[in-house]
Amino acid sequence: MLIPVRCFSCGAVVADKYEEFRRRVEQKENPKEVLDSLGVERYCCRRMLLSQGEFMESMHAKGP
Amino acid sequence: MYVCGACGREVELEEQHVRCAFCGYRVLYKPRPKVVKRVKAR
Amino acid sequence: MELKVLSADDRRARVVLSDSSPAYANALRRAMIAEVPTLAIEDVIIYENTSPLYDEILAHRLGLVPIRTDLSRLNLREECSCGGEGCASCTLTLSLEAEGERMVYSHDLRSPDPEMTPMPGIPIVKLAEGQRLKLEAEAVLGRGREHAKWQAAVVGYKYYPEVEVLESCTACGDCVEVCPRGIMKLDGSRARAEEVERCILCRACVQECRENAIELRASDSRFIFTIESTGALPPLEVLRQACRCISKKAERMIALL
Repeated sequence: MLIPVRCFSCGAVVADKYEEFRRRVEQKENPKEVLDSLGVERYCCRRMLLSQGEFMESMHAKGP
Repeated sequence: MYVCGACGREVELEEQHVRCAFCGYRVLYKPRPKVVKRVKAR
Repeated sequence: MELKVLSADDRRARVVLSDSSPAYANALRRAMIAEVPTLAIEDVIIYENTSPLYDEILAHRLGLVPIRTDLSRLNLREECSCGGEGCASCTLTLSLEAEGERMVYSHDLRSPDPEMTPMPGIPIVKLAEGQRLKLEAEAVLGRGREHAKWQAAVVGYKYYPEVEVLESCTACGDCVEVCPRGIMKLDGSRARAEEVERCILCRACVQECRENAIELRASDSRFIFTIESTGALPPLEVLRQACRCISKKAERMIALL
């Protein structure tokens, strides 16, 4: 849904890097290089960004 | 007070049926009451 | 004891601690993670929330946002003159008001103090058209040992690598080839390690060497600390505060004796 604010394992903040990560990956950049340049070193934090699924829009009510 | 799931109008619950008085739709939502809520950020 | 700063900016620092012991290094690490006070949102007063998230989830996300902290101007609530009730010298009240359609970010939280602001750029919730959010958030000082939202930094240390190349080295270059960090270099008739701080003690060079000419040890008196701040305090300030926490504890101990 929404990117978790901090890494579940180590507690480092990852959410502030998410939008840049996503934008650059959508522009066909290699996710490994994006993570490296964002300074996300540990694999616990890397999986937070890599495994994020985006479906916030589907949470918005479709009613009147 | 409820909100109709189809036409969105505010409706009161009838005695016999759960039904919108305007369009007859039978799904009604309870809107959030206007109270101030205090929650712990944990 | 000796301390050398290898690199430091506002988010991360690398520091070498020499002439010390594993017990001391670990005490420092634990103090930095669990004992340094920082600001985090503790109570959220919700006036209006028609967003897709429940109040509790919203509050939890807000709580995890780091807030730049000036420790000289705030007290811990339990040590404050107000007696833990909450007053201006132990509480920072932030406010947020937003209406969709848009994404709400951490920097939409308005702080009354320009020195103590939430870390920008963290998505909180996405509002659809017409959805509204109005709330107040009370941030207080706390310690990482109580809740991870107050954790000041992610800290790790490793034993300082000591690479020794013996006389029997024939400069065959196998270790240069196999080192994953590329720190082994050929220097005339011998191999030599450069920038040993980058070594990860994988022992690939030792296993590859036909002459058994490389000795690799992990020092138990020198440590390389990596301090990654969560954003509330600069990393070197986290180290400074951790030392203060340890000495305060020691003083309390002395008073008891």
